[in-house]
Amino acid sequence: MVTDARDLTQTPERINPVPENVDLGAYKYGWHDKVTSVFEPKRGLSHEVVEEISQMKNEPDWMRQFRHRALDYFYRRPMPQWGGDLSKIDFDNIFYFLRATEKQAASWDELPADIKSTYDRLGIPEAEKQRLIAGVAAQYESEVVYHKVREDLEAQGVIFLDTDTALREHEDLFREHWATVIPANDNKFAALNSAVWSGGSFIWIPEGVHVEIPLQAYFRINSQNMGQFERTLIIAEPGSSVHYVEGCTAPIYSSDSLHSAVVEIIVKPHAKVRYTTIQNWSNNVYNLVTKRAAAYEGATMEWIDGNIGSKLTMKYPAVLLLGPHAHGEILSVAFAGDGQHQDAGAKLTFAAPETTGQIVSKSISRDGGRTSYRGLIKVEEGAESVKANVRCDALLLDEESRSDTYPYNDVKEEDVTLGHEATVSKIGDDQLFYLQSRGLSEAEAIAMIVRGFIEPISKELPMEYALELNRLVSLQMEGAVG
Amino acid sequence: MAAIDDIPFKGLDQAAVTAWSEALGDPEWFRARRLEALAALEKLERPTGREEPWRFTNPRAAGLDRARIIRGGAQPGAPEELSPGHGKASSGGGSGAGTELEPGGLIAMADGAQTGRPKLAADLAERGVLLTDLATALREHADLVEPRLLVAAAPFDEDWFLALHATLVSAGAFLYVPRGVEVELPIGAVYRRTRSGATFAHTLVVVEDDAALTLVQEHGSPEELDGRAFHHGVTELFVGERASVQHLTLQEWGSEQVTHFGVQRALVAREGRYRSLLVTLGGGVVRIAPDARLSEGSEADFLGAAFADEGQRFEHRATVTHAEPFARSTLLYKAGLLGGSRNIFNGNLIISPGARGSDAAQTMRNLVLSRHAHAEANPFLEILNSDVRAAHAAATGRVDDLHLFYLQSRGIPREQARRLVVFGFFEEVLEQVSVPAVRRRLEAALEAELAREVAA
Repeated sequence: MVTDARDLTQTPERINPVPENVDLGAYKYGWHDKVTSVFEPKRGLSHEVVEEISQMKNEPDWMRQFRHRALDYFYRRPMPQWGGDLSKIDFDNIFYFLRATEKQAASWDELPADIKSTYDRLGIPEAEKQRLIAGVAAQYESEVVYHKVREDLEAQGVIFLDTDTALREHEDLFREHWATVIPANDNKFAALNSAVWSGGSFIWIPEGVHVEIPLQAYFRINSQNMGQFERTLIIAEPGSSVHYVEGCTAPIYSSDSLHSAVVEIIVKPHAKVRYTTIQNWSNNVYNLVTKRAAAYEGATMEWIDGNIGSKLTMKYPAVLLLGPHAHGEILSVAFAGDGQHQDAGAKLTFAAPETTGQIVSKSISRDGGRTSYRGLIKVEEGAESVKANVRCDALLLDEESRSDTYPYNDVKEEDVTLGHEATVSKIGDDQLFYLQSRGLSEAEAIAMIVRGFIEPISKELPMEYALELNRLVSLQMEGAVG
Repeated sequence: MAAIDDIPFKGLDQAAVTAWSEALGDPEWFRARRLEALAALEKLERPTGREEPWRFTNPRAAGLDRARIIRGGAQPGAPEELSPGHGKASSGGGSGAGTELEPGGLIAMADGAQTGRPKLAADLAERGVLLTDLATALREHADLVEPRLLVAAAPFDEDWFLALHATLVSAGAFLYVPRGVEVELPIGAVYRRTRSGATFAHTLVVVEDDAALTLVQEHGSPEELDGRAFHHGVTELFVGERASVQHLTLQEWGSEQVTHFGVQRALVAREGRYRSLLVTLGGGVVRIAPDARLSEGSEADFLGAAFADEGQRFEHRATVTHAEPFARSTLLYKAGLLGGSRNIFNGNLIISPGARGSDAAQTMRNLVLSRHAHAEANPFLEILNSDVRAAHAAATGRVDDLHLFYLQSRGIPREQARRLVVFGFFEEVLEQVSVPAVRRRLEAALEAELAREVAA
C-alpha cells in the first residue's frame, strides 16, 4: 500500500490538462485557473509525504507524531463496505498537498491575480465588501490564501484563523481541544485527514461573546486529482454564540478529486453554534467528510447541511449531547442528479438526561441520481427524559432515480420519546396542473414545488446562501422536465 | 451404509455430506443439490458479525464450531400423540382449554427428525391437499419440489447459512394446496428441540392459483436443555395468483439455551395475498428474517409482536420487495422489552424500478419497560420508482404516565393498569389476527408473559 512519493517533473499545465469538448453542463464553477504551485507537487501517500508536510509547516513534534500515527490507522482500517461506491478512489494518484501562494494575504488586493480572479468569479469579494459577514477565509488547494476578520471582533478576543496559523500562534489552546471530538482513529477518512490535514478554520469565541453576523469560509479545489483535507476546529466558550458558513466548489476534470475534511466543534455550557455548509463540488469530487460536535449542558448545536454537488458524498453531521438540557439539530438537504450519489444524513447521540434533538432531511433525486438518508439516533443508558424527532422526506422526479432511507434508532433507556417518520413522493399532477393553470411553465412550476419542498431548510440559511441554494436548485432543475 | 445420527460441523466434506445424504435416504437429485450447496458454501464468505446484515446478531451465537449436526432425539419414544402448544405458554399456565388449535392438519419435527406421521383432515386429502415430511416429498413429489426447493425463493448460493442449510437439512414439511382449494382450518407445523446440537429444518409451501391456506408454525422446547441448541429454519412459500396465505410463526422456545435463525421467503404471484404474523416470546438468541417478493397487484401484510425478557436477544429483519407495479404492503411490528433484554426491528422496503403505483407503509414500535433494555427500530426504504406512496415510522417509548394515572383514577391498581396498557399496546397487532383460535392463543401467551413480569 505504501508507495514512495514520486517526483513529478510535469508542469502544472500538463498535470491539469483541460479535457477537450468537456460539457460543463449547469455547473457554474467548472472552470479552473492556471496557477503555478510554489513547490513541486507529489502524488501518492506515504510516511515521507506526511513528514514533508509537517516539516514544511514547521510543526511541533507532537503534531508530527499525531500525523504519523494517523497514517498507520489509515493503513490499518479497511475501506467501508457500506454507503457509496469507494472502489474507484486511487489513493496513489492524489496530490496530498499543494501550496498555491507563498504567503497569506490580509487584504484582497494582495492576493495573486489568478487566485483573486478565481474568487472574484465565485463572488466572494462582493460579500465581503457588503460587510454581510464578520470574517472570511478562503482556502485554495491545501492552504488558506486569504483571511480577514472584523476589527471589532478581534477586539473582543475572537480568534478566527486558518488552522495552520492557529497551531503556531495558540498552541496550548489548540492542543487542549484538538482531536478530542473526532480522534484520529475514528474512521478511515478521519485518519487520512489527520495524517495529511492542511488549512481549514480555527475559531475560538470567548465566554459570553456573541458574534452577530456569520463567519465565512470558501474552499476551492483547482487542480486535477487534488486531495483537499482541511481541518476545522470551533470552540465556543460558555454562553457564547457563533454562526459559521462554508461553501465549496471545484473545477470539472476528467479524473476525480478527493475532499476529506474533519470538522470538530466544542459547544461549552449554554453556548450556541450554528454551522452551515452548502457543498457544491463538481461531479467528480468524492466528498467524504467527518463532522461532529460535542454539546455540553444547556448548549445548542445546529448543523445546516446542503449537498448539491460532488460525485459521491458520505457525510453525517453528528451531535454528541453530553450535558443535561443540551439540544442538537440537524437540517439536511440533498440534491442528486445524473451520476451523483448523496449518502448524507445525521447522527444524534443522547448521553445526558433531558437532552433533545431534531433531524429534518429533505432529498431530491432526478436523472438517475441517488440520494440516501443514513441516520442514527442513539440513546445511552442513563439519558432519561430524552426527546428526539426525525423527519425525512424524499422527492423523486423521474422513474430512473433512487431514494433510500436508512434510519437507525438505538435506544438503551426506558424514559425516551423517539419518533421517526419518512415519506417518499413525487410531484403531484394536481399541483403541477394548478400552477400551470396560473400561467407558470411546467419547468417553473416544478422548480417552485421543489423550492417549497426544501423551504424549511432554505429559510434557515443566511440570505445570500438561501438565494444561492434556490438558484442552484433552479439550475439543477433545468431540463428536468421530460 | 450404517445409520448416521449426527455429524460434526467441523470438517464437512463431500464424503461426510454424501454419507449424511445416504443415511437420510435422499433421491439422487437432492444428493446432487446438497453437494452443489457444499461447493457454494466453500466459496461463500462465512459471516463474522461485521457484515451489515449481521451487525445486530452475532452469527457465532449459532455455536457451530463446537456443535454436532443432529437428527433425532437422544431418548427413544418421542411423543407419538401430537398436539400443538408445546411451548412454554401452554406449559407455563395461562392458556386453558379452548385456546388450543384445532388444526386441519399437523406435522411435527423434533431435534432435526420427523416425529410421528403427519395428520391431515380426510376431506382435505380428498381435495388433493398434500402434507408430507421432507423425505417423502423429495422421493414422491419431486415434480413439485425439485424446481423450488432452495433454488427459487431461498436460493442456496445466495448466502452462507442458506448453503449450509441446503447441505445439511434433515427434517421438514411439504404442504401443497391445489388450484382453487380453500383450506379453512389452520395447518400446524411444530418444531421442537429437546437436546443440544444443531438442526436444519425446512418447510416448503406451495399454494396454487385461487387457493387459500392458513399455516401455523410453532417452535418450542422444555425449559431445561442439556446444552446449547441451534435451530436453523427455512420456510419457502409460493403464493399463486389470487391465492391467499396466512402465515403465523410462533417462537415459544422454553429454554434460553436455544439460538434460532429463521428465514422465511414468500414469492407472491399476481394479485396474490400474503399475510405474515411473527410472534417471538421465547429463546435466547432469535433472529427471524421474513421476506416477501410481490408481483403485480399483490398484497403483503407483515405483523409482528415480540416480548423480550432479561437475557433474551431478538432480531426481526423484514424485507418487502415490490418487484412489479401496483402492489401494496404494510408492516406493523411491536415489541415490549423487560430487564436487560434487546429487540431489533429492521425493515427494508424495496421498490424496484418498474414498480409504479406501489403503496407501502412500515410502522415499528418498541415499548421499553426497563431502563436496562435495549431497543432498536430501523425502518429502511430503497425506492427506485417515483410513482409510489411510501412512508414509514418508528418510535420507542415507555408506558405513558397519563394512561396509568387515568386507569388508577378509576380504581385500578397500578400493576394491573400497567398490564392493561401493555396489553393495549399489542392489541393493534392482535386485532388483525383473523383466526379466533390463534388470536386467543396469542393473547394467552402474552398474558402469561405479563404475569411473569409481575411475579418477577
